[in-house]
Amino acid sequence: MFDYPILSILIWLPILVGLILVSSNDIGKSLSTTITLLTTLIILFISIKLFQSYDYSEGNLQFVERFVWISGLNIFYYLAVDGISVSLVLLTSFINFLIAIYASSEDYDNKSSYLGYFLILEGLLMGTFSAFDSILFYIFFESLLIPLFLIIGIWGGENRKYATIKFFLYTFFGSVLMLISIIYLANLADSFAIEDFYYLTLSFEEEVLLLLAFLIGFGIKIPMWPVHTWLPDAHVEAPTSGSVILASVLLKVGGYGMIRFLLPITTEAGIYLSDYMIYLSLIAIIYISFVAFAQEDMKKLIAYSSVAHMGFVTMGIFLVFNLMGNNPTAAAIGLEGAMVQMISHGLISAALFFCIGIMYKHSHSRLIKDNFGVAQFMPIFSFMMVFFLMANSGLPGTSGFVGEFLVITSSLGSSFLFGFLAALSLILSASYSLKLGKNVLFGDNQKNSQGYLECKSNEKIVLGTLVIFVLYLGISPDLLFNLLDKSVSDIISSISLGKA
Amino acid sequence: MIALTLILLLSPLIGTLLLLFFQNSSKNLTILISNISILVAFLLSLFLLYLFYSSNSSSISANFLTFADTKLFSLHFGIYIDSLSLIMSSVVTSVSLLVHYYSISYMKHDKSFNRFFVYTNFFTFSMLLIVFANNFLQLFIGWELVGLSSYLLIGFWIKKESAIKANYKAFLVNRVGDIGLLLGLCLILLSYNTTDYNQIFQIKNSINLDSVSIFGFTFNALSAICLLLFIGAMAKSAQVPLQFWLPDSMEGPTPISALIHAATMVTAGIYMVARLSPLYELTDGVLVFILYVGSITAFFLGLVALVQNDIKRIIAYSTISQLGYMTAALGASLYSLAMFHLITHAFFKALLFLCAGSIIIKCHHEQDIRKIGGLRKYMPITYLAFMYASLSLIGFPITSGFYSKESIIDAIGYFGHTIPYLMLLLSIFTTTLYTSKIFFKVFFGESTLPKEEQNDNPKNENDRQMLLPLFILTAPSVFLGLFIYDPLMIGILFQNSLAANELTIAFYNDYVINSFKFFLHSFTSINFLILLIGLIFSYLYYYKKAFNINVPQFIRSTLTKEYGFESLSSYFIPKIQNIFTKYLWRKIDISTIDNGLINNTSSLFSNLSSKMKKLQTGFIYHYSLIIISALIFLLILVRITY
Amino acid sequence: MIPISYYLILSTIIFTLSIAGIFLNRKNILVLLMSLELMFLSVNFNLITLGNYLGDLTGQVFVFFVLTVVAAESAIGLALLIVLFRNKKTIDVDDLSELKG
Repeated sequence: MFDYPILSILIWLPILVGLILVSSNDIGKSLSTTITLLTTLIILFISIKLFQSYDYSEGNLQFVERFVWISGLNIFYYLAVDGISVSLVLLTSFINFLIAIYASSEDYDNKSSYLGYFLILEGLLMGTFSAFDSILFYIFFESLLIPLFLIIGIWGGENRKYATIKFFLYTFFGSVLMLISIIYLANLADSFAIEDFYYLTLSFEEEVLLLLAFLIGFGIKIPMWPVHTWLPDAHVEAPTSGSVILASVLLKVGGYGMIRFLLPITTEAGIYLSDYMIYLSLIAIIYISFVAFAQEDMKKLIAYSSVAHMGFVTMGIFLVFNLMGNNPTAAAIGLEGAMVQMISHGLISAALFFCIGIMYKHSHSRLIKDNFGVAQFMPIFSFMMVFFLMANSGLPGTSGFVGEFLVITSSLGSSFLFGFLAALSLILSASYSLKLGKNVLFGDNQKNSQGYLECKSNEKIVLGTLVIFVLYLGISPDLLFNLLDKSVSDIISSISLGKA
Repeated sequence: MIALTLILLLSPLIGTLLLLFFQNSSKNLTILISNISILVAFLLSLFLLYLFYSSNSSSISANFLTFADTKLFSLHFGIYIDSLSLIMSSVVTSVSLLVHYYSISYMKHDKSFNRFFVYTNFFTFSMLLIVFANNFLQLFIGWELVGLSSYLLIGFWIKKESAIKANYKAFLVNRVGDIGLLLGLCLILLSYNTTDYNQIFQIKNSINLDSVSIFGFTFNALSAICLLLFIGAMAKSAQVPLQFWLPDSMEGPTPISALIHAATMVTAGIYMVARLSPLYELTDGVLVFILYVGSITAFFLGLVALVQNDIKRIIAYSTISQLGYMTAALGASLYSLAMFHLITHAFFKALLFLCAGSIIIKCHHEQDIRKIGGLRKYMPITYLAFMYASLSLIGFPITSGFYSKESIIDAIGYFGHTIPYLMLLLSIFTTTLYTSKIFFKVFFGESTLPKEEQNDNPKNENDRQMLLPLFILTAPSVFLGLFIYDPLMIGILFQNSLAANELTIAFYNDYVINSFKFFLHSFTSINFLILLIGLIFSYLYYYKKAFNINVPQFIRSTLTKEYGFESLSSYFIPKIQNIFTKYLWRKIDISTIDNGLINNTSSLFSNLSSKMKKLQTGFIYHYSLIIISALIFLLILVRITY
Repeated sequence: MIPISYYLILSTIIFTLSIAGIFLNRKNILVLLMSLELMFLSVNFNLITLGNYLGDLTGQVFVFFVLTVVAAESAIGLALLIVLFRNKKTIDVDDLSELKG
């Protein structure tokens, strides 16, 4: 075990370095890139150490740090991790490391502040995934909005003001509902620690209201249909790295919150309303795939694709409610599928946004009709992009398949209709992903007016590492399952506890 | 034996990886790596076949890589060694090896020479994954990877617009079938907590007693699973109504048409049903369904081939039709006959395609048979190979195709399935017609080659690499059937891998007696009569042009439009998809949610605040009026309450 | 003695007059300032009256505080008025609406 507080280091080190970078007066592009690279590398090493020293067989919370913070209100500085948190911490540190590598391809004014905000964001994300006191969680959850607001608002596209304010207010609205619920629960439980909420017995009406509040709060973040419309605008206007971190990690915060708050606390209401929520997820999977097909902007297409993939995550989570009573094995399979889908989607969408960013650098247009014939001039890049598009459509052998496969399996336990509708995503996701590949990569481009040039080595490293991990998780997701298994079963048992 | 099989399986994969990393190296290195990896696989297949039969061992199933091992489920990659998988792997690797060797010459002028071999090696590996799969998950993984290789190879020439459309269509249609396969797989995993073949085979009788509820109707669990799995096979093996991707897949280079879309990938569905024959034997309705799907495909798609003029498309429709034969055999519980036809078809169809490739190269990429002619003098080897392959295809006595095809037709008739029997019988006529059409139009008549190439020096036909495979493939196309017919029919060849052996054995003992008697008997059968009529007819019509037939226009147009599948898939579906999705996007997402709820809410707030703003007039006396009146109001309020 | 109500009514009348002065003038800030002074007068008057009535000297002492503050405030008000006039060239109350929302 460690004598030093590993979780606090993971949180505060990047925030500190980020603050220094932000408040410095533009210390130059290469210096700030190097500092960011070093910091994210250190954080990556520490999180790998965390992963290695995490004990799989004992699923309890580990690496606990608990100090009194605001004694008058009974709020503690309470950090801990379980299997789910560890996987998300690893994802965060890995994606941020890739962003740091990619940063040398980006050319922005005042780059040190730009990278500083990313580091602050990384620290706050670590905090969100390890906080076990609900107010601490809420603080980290909310403060995520600030660096991202600034990243999109300052370094974004032409319509960035509208997009970033929309993103901020939209998400904030949901979080306020969440705050009310947390305060209400804390009042009842006389403590702000999340696990104390699990043992509360609540009346059915209370549970329904809490469910709706948490659903809206986290549903906006995930995003669920119909509160997803902030995502396309935010993605389109954000700079490449901003899109990457938004799609890969920030959306998972919503899913993580659902698993922590919704599942164990509002069980009865959840079981009652699970059918409707599964329908919402199915609408996300099917309807949004149709909408994605109709897009003419590359980034919007992948943004809608993100919504569709997160539909699998929410479906897996709500299936737990649906199957709690009669088929707990299938419920556990569904939850594991949702978790794996989160990690896999984090990797794949990051890769796709990197790809689009690389193309945008040359053609300065995100529209599909302005980008064509890329494969002629960027063969290695196209090969990797085809790989990621195939992974996006759930090709077995890539990580994209595992989560979808498990969620479909578990949904069959509930009703064949659910499984069939979810399995339709096989065709639908292939249709829009391959449409993107077809129109952008293939085809004839004589003049190369966009000025495509094979991608640089740092971009190759970024994409190549993602290829390796997506393949590895697709061929042997055992690595992930070992991590998640015990935690998932613990959650299922704590749900039954709440139910009883 | 397990270790050898593992090397067999991984050899093409290692080849792929090596080729991937040495992509920018010389052509010779590519040729070396790609051919050696497949050669190793092929030699190991033959050696393992010998080992398996000589040591008389039973089937082996072993896992070699863990996919996931949790408390809830246990999924692995494994290998299943028995006669069925070893024979299939021999067929796959042999055709693959010959195609690889052939492609050295066919693709020699192509810029992306190295990339081609990466894809073909990867394809061989994925196909072997399916062949040696010992559980349903690995089957599905290999299935999709084969679809991926097909996608990459059909769209190999990325600048060709038609190729890009074709590979998109092929992948999506395959995905439609994959939904069925995935649902079957998930149902198995969910209900029985395992995907291993052997474990499912053991509990198959109890699965037959279970029921599953689909869309409100209860079905027998085993039938439902088998039907779902077959839907996957329908897409992969191009049965009606999911067959329309195969003709368009001819956009890819001819060697891969030979490898993938004739010999191996499209037979994966047949192989799957054969492998799972113990399960299918217990279902009733599903087998009847399979029988009719197969016969309908065989007959109706054979008709379409009659009106085609592109040499590759004719052979493609012929492939669909022959796959229909195999499917019909599966449906009649004649699994070993289906596999037999699969094997012989792999050889003679690959040979046909490779000949077509040779012709195409010689005629400078001209594929329309109306524009080629008289090649008999200038391409003697191709001419002979094509002739033998055609004889096998139409089922001329003594050839392999004769033994496999006629056995299927006669057996189906023997077991009393009248309508399928008639459909398959009539298909002999259409098969003969379209095959001889190509033969007569391409090899006879006026030559269209430019004068300087009209050289009947055999050295000028084509490269050695293209001709040698033609030589080699002729042997199995003609003689293989004769050699393995008797062992196969009495069950020695496939031993216990396939179910319902007793049916084949009964048919053999009663009707066939032995291969020689079958050969003699064929001359007096109605099949041979139809074949002769077909040959005479096409000789007169295509070669002598003795008469003209006025086919009614509507028949001709229906066939040319492939019963409407073509316009459906190339025109209607994309158009509807575009309109529908754009409508959904604009109407719901943008108008209702984005504008209706979100933007309206924010403009509601700004409207409200701009109205409230008017209270702040900026005039002092307005403010003082409010202050004073509030003060008075408060005073009165205080006075009243106290 | 003169009943206290007379004094109080007097101061109320002066107060009302000053309010009327605030509202009924549109043209002159100086009049505004003058009516403000009248308001202070009435308040002072009230303070002294009640101080005498209640026998507490506090009322009269407080008047001095008020007078000091009023003096300072008038000085500032007049200074502001002069600066205002210099910039706006008018002391019309109607023209002073730049703080409108």
